[in-house]
Amino acid sequence: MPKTIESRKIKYYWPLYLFVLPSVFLVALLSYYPAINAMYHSFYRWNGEDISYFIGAVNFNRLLGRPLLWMAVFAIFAGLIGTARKENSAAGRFFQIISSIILPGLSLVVLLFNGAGIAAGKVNMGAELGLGLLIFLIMFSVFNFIVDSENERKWIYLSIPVFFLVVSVFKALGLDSLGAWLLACTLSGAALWSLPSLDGRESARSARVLHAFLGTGLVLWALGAHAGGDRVLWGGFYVTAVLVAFNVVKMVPSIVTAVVIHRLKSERWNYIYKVMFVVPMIIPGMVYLLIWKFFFNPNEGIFNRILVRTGCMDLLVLLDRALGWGGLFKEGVMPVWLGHEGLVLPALILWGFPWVGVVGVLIYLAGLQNIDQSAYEAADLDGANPLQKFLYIELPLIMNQVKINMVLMIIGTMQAYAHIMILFGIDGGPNGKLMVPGLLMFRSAFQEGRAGYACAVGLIMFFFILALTEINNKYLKVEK
Amino acid sequence: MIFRSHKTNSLAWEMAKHLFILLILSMALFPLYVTVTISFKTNAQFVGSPWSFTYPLHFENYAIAWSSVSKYIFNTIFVGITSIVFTFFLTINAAYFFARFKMPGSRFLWYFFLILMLMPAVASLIPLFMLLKDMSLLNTFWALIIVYVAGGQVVQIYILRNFIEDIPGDLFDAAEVDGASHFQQVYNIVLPMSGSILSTLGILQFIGLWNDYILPLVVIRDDDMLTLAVGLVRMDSEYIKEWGHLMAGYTIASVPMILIFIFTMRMFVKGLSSGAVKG
Repeated sequence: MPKTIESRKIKYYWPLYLFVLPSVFLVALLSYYPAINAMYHSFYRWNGEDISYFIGAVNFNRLLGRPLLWMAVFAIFAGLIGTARKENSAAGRFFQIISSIILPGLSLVVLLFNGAGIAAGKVNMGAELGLGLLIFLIMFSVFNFIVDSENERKWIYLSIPVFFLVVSVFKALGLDSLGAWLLACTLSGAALWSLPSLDGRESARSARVLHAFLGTGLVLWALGAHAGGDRVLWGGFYVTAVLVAFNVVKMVPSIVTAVVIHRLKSERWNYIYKVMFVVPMIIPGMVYLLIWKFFFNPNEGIFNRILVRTGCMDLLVLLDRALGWGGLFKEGVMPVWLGHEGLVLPALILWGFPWVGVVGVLIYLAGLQNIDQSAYEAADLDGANPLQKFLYIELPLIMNQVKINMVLMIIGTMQAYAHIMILFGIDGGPNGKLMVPGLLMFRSAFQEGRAGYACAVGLIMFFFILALTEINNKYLKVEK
Repeated sequence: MIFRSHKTNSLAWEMAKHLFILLILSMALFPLYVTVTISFKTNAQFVGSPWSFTYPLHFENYAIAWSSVSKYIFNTIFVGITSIVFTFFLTINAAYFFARFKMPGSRFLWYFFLILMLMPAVASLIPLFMLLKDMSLLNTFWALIIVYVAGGQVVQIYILRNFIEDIPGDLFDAAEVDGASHFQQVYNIVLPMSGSILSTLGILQFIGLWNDYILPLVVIRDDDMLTLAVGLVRMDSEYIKEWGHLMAGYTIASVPMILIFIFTMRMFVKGLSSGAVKG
């Protein structure tokens, strides 16, 4: 137990402060001061040196278009986060209705009438519908299989694929994706709040909260696309969102590997594999990245050779012809993974295959070791298949670690840009395709001499990450 | 009979599991294999047969790579060790303060550190750069060192505080009766007991700065003073691609990590797993 020292004794004990003061000073100077300074300078035209004068919100105007709109949406968002956990509160209902019906509906109307439009240029009806149906079937069967029929929330899971189907129908009818999502969101929101059979159900409440977040997300999307801000920034957030989605998928191999190692009968092999999985970790991350950069080299690199050797290249050429990717893959031509506009994002997602994070595997294994052997025996008696064992015994036990890793991954993905800079250069690949917000910040400050603008970008990222952290803290509660 | 079928079935399963793990493992190790094989080849040999070792092995690739990589490695090791030593010196004392005493204001100071864990640091790079410039530290190792030391504070204080709180208080009381000052308590009680946790923290910090790219990129100008990550990227972009030299350089850049892991792996795996369980 810490020893309590009261204030009147402080004159004997004050030297103790000297133990912590150096750390405090260092952190204040190198962590707090720059953060505060960034906030201050985001309202300045600043080139980092001599030019520095106050310009108000001009930086934010340029980046976001109409900051007032953004602030209003963020305020509603904050209200939503603050009230969402309160049972049956009027304020909670207020914010939820606003963000799941009124805001999306309003943005839809505004888009219709202010000339931005929500119609897509050219629609391939069959392809849209086919893709939608495919996604629907896959998601529906997966949810139907995974979610227990006793689970009161099953209908929520099953209505997610239906939502995707509706969106693709709207798209096939000629709306662009933003319009289709907004329309589907408004309609489903109206249904969620008006259907009498849903009232009083516990599960309806969580569905409404979830839907409200979907609505705000879509409105933010609409704001980014049509509020007249910096298109580059918005494209960057889109790339980040895609990367986050794929990074969630990329967590699966680590989990699966850990579970398989854990299920091995022999303790000795278990240990041997654990040690062997540490070996890839000794390659420093930077070296690993540069090796992958070499892999992607079109003619000398290994990646294309592997594709050709395993026949994947022929498959890709076939797919290209069938789906109309516009000649990304042609016979006899090696794809330029790091230099072709259509290939840079896939390359960024693919690098690091098979995506087994060693630290992740070890952490999951540590969690799995707590499982009592009797749980497996009971499951065997009940005739559980391996997948069921995974879902009901193993996954719940490592859920904490999965959640923590996911939170760290999301925050990390939002901020990371060094690897993009190394793989694709400071301009973010051809046509700035991969200009994520962090990279935009870096380039504005150190290449274009627009340090004030860069500070504003940093501040916007800061608020996005803070909001995400807040959601994480509220909803991905980690049980200790 | 039922038992027999069950057993063969489980044997097949067992083999399948081993196969799966070996497949994943081989894919994870593949980049390492490719790097090492190419590091012994000339470009002609590589184009001729990219997949396996070819003879003669060109050991001189390593000599050439060493002449360009070595300075980066020594720079990074110097920066790393210096900043780790300074970080430990500050964090152990601060953690001792938080773990052993409840002074007026210590709650405030604790949150002063803890809030930084939640705050994304992304926006502060530019003012940080300007600050270092105003302190005329640009293009010196000290710029890197003080930033790394400051960056290591929060997490290490947090972890070390938990650790010191678990040390039995009687030890400190006994030392106090013998007339030990607080500094003596830190260096005679805390320091000898915290070997394993300090090495874990130190390794994590070292891995972090071994791979750090952005800060040295903006802070260091002279080629002779670059740290490893920036140096490697620069090599990658400058060379008229002689892959053998490049891969030899990458292999050399991995060696210090390999050494660290060989000496500390057991401790590290243990520390990582137990830390994970604790949350």
